[in-house]
Amino acid sequence: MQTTFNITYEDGWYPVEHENGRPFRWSGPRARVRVTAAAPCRSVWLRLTCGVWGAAPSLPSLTVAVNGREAGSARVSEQPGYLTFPLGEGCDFDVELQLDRTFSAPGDVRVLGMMVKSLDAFDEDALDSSLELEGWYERETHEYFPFCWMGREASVLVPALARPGTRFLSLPIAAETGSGEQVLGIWRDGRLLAEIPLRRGWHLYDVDVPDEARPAAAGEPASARLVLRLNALCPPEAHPGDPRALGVRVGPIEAHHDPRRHAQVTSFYQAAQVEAVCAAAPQNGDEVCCGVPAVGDGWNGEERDERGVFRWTRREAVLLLPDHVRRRRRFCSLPLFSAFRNLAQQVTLSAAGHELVRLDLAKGWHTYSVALPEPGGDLEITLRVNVLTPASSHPGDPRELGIRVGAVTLHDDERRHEREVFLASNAVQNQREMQRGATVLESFPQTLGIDLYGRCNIKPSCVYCLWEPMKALEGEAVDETVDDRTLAGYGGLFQGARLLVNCSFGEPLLHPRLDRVLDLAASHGKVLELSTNGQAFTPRTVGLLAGRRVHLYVSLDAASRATYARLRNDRWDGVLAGLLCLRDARRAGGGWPRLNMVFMPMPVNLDDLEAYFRLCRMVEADALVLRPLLHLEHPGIVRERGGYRFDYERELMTPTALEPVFAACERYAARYEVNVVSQFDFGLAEASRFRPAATL
Amino acid sequence: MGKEEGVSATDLLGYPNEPLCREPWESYYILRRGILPCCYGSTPIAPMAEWKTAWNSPALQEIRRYLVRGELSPYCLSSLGCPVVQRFLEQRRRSPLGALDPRARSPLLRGMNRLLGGVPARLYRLLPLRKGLSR
Ligand code: SF4
Ligand code: SF4
Repeated sequence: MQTTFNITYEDGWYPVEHENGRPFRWSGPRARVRVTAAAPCRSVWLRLTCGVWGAAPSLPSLTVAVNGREAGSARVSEQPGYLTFPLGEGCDFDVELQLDRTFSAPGDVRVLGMMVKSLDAFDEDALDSSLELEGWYERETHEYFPFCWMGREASVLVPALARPGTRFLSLPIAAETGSGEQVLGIWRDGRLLAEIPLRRGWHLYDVDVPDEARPAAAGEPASARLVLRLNALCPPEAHPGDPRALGVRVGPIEAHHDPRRHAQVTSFYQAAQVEAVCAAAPQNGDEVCCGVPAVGDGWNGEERDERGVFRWTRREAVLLLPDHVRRRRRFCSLPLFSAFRNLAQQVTLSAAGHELVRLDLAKGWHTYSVALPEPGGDLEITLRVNVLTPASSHPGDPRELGIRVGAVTLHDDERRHEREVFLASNAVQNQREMQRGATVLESFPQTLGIDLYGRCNIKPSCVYCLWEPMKALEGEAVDETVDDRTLAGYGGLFQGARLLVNCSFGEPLLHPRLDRVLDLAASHGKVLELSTNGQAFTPRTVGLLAGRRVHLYVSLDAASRATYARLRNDRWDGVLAGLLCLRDARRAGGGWPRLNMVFMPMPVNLDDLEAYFRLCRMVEADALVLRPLLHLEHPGIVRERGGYRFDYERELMTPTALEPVFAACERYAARYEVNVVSQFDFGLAEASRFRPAATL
Repeated sequence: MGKEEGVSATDLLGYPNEPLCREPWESYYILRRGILPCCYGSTPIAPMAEWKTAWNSPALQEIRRYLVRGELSPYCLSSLGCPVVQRFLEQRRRSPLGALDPRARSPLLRGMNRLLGGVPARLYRLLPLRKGLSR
């Protein structure tokens, strides 16, 4: 438990002022404070957040005396940063702060020493996280990791590092420079413990502390002082407008003794592994993506929806395909969106006065493949819709809207063309049959639910998982192999589906033929939806996923180690390191796989909500998915985990209890610029159509 | 949505012709625990091995038939994890007649739901991504 100190400003201080709502005081040349604790402490530290704010002509040196004896001295920085001094043992400290020079600002008669933003005392034996001593700028708390910028060199006190059994040091660090340009050396007692080549952005690093650097004598302090040294500062152009000499951002440094955590985290930042992952994004043969139509008549401005960037056509629009881009490719893949559900909208494509094709448009986005006329040459394709999107469906928007057109692709793959034609015609037929009210269908479903893998790496299962009853229901099929060959064997059911959704009670990333499954889905133009618990992220699986048309749903429901332990287990750090590696791989893979971070609001995790938004921003998630905990009548599931009693029934939140959660999500979504998808509204549209006499 | 020459946009776009729920047309789940017509179906309509025939099986035809009529089939009503069903039962409970209708809180249906786990096939359902929060 943290020790509470009482800090009294005594003589030598000017009155409190405020800047951006935050209080500060200027000291004179000499100032005193009194630090008291309720009970004696073995080792107390005093930390000042101070600077001269660019106002002084030269930087003063601060000398601190405690109960009449000198405790140390240090140079006060220009910008507010930390200076920390040992007060020693006891519970009552009379602290004198003496500056070697003062200055006066123009128009201000005061004799100024330094500006102090805060004064804090710490009991070394009660530290629950690392204590920045010197060389740090003020802590910032608006990102997932609370962090301090360090300059070129900084020192830190790490609790429990010297405790027997502790072997590893965990460091969240964000560098602004690319691979390995900045190297961080970690020193203790004049010995170099480790050197870490830093990667761009936030990463989690884990260092094995050499044995001899771990004194473990009984009665000695368990914390240890480390010095961090950078080979180079962050280039000033990486932080324009910020005059500080910045190195890297460092989050809370922790000591631990878990070799599995160390191995998992380490695997993600070993340079070769990550580079291999980022290079793994597959290329798509001879295709060329022309992007969203940018020239030609008849287009409205560029917009974005859940699928990506698009433009609305007017009634007619002209698509220009110049010869130097087309290069005799024979096929054009056109992602088109129609708002009509009754197939009333058609688009006719023509070139040089000849009709190329007339397409019935299924609702929503579908890819339509068109064979281009021979030979090559510049091509002007006119798209003309038979009916506009009703103006009354977009009130307040006076534009003439035909259909949406996404990024156009040209290719020369005849089989792909045939597949895309089949997929689109199946979608149209499926919709036609549904609109007709057919109950026997010739078409195939557009979404195929599959069950890739029946085993899970979380044992015991997540607290809300219905593992046992599900496995009982699966019976003999539990060990049924479902792989790429099985899927291909589903024939039309596989061929006709645009979306493959894995619904296993199990972890799909553990599938022994995951690479083949991904290849099959890619070669058939399917989008694959995989839900994962995130614990199966490894450099290999991340590498397999990089650049694939996969929608990942990562179920965490927690943004802290403690909450994660209540729901699942102690593997939080590996999940975090995996997500950061995935972020880099997705950048290299053109944003694929898409990343959806799932959060089921429950009393157990509500305190993590804001941090979850920060986490989503850090890992560059496409969306935060709010999902209801599955409604079960009298679930009777009560599990003790991570010091918490998870009672399923109690965790099911009522609509009233959810209201403030949704309101908070609105705020956080705007603050952290995170897209939120709420799955709480499933069934709303249907509910508006219940007939009064709907039967039971 | 507004109206155009006396016809509402939803009519023009073809909403009224759609069944109450589109899942059993657009989706199909071949899972180890059996074949399911939608992501919220609680009871398999056939074992996994019958994936080929279950797509147009009498059981699935019946589910579709009800939905075309704008009604929930007994199958759907047994799938208490389904939000459509939950909303329906909630409406029934709130309506003066529904409150009297013992079937709106059928212990049998609730019993079935528990027995079968009441687990949707697709716990992790993709809904369209939207900018900002919508409910
Ligand atoms: S990851 Fe999924 S299948 Fe595995 S235990 Fe958790 S909820 Fe169950
Ligand atoms: S159970 Fe729900 S989702 Fe499934 S078909 Fe019935 S209404 Fe649709």
